[in-house]
Amino acid sequence: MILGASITVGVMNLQLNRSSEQATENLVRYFDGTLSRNLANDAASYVLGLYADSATLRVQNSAKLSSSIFSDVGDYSLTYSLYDTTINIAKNDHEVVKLVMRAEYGKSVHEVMVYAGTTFGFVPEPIRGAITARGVLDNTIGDLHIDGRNHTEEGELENFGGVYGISSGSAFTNKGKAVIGGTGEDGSDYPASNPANPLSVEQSHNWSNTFPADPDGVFNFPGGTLKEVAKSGVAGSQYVTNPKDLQFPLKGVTYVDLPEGVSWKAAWLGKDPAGILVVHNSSGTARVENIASETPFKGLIIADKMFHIHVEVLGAVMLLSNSLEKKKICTGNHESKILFSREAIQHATYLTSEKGTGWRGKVPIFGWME
Amino acid sequence: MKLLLSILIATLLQQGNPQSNSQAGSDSTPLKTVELFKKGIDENDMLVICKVMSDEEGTGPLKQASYEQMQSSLEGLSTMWRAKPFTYGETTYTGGNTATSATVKVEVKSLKQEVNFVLEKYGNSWYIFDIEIFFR
Repeated sequence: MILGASITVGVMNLQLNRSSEQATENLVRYFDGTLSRNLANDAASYVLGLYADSATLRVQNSAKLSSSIFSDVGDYSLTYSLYDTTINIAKNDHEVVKLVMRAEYGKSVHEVMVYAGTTFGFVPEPIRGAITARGVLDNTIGDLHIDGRNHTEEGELENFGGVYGISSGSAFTNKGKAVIGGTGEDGSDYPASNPANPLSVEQSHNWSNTFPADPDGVFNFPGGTLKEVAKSGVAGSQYVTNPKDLQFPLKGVTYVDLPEGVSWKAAWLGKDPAGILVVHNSSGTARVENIASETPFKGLIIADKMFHIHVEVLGAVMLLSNSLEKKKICTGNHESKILFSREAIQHATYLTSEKGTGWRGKVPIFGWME
Repeated sequence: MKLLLSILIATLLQQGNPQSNSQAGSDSTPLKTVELFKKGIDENDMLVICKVMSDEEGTGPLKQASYEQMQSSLEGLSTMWRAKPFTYGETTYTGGNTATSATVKVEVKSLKQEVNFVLEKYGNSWYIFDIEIFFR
């Protein structure tokens, strides 16, 4: 009887011990698993931050990431690779980089895969159309070809990501018989036509005092930021008060600060113009006329006023003045096109993003798999 | 002597009046105004150029107070077109015999440009209101 009881107690004790060991093991495994997953995610974020500051960063073969990054975590190892590949989204191939981050902690291994875009930068929120304005655009656009559907930087049509052809804070009448297309509020695309599909045009948009007062306002930057970037000369940026002083090709931020009442009447942009072109003065009266170039301008043009638009733009145009051309007529610019291009704008705005501030808001993420 | 002085004063007064020294007179035509504009460019005479320009709003001849701004605005154009021959094309009038608006077509072959000069008539004189350049 006693022997039987002892055996029973012994067996129970053994089972309890085993359960306890199992529980401890489970706890450790759970702890290791959680830690390795967090490590992998945090390390992926860290590498994306490096990538955001250096778009050319690639690690073709799996390499170790310094273990000093998360020094207070304990004994772990991180390996990663970052290489170019292609993914298909909505029937469109996109060039991306694939980041594979592998974290090991204790007995647990966790792998994270991230698909990130190769075009950084952002499209400023006030850009609502291929041409965005607060004032009356009727006389300004002439018979331009305007398409707010999204295009690549090379002018190929994309399946999503477009904006209105025209977005105006005023009423709009297509006096010049412009050919207009764009993406409506519901995301549907409307090819460019004359008469335009009304859904491709936004008129009398209520800005509620949020329309940018100056070029910095387009980006929500503190006043003077763009001028500073232009003056710094970074990536070919330049600041001039007389267009004759411009150096070509235009790239980076080109800031033309015209004296009050002065127009830039023959705005030749040369070959391969790109970036952010600002034509502005403190009184908001800077006017650019007969704007043309040898090859399409890629990026964002922000001017107080524009007239006789004879340039092809891949990107977008934003006109800040509330008083655009009312009397002069532009009738011969039907060969020029303003094609909205998210990619071109992102390339242009990337320059203005601050280094060392992480990847969020700069690097587009197509997928993050844990 | 008095007569000579009067002539001198009259001449000086006329030079100070932008409307009287440029195209004033019934014989002014849109083409003559554009030709005078081109002469001003070739001779780098910004005063002559300003005197044949309309104001930006199209309400009348350019006011003297705005000459400096117009000179700055036209600096690039005038550098581009200096010593480049203009080939004058047709003049089209808007409004028939009583036309107050006209367009003079010009070709700048060496720069592969076609240019529309749009002119407005104030009184008997024509003034350049708008310049549209087509780059070919």
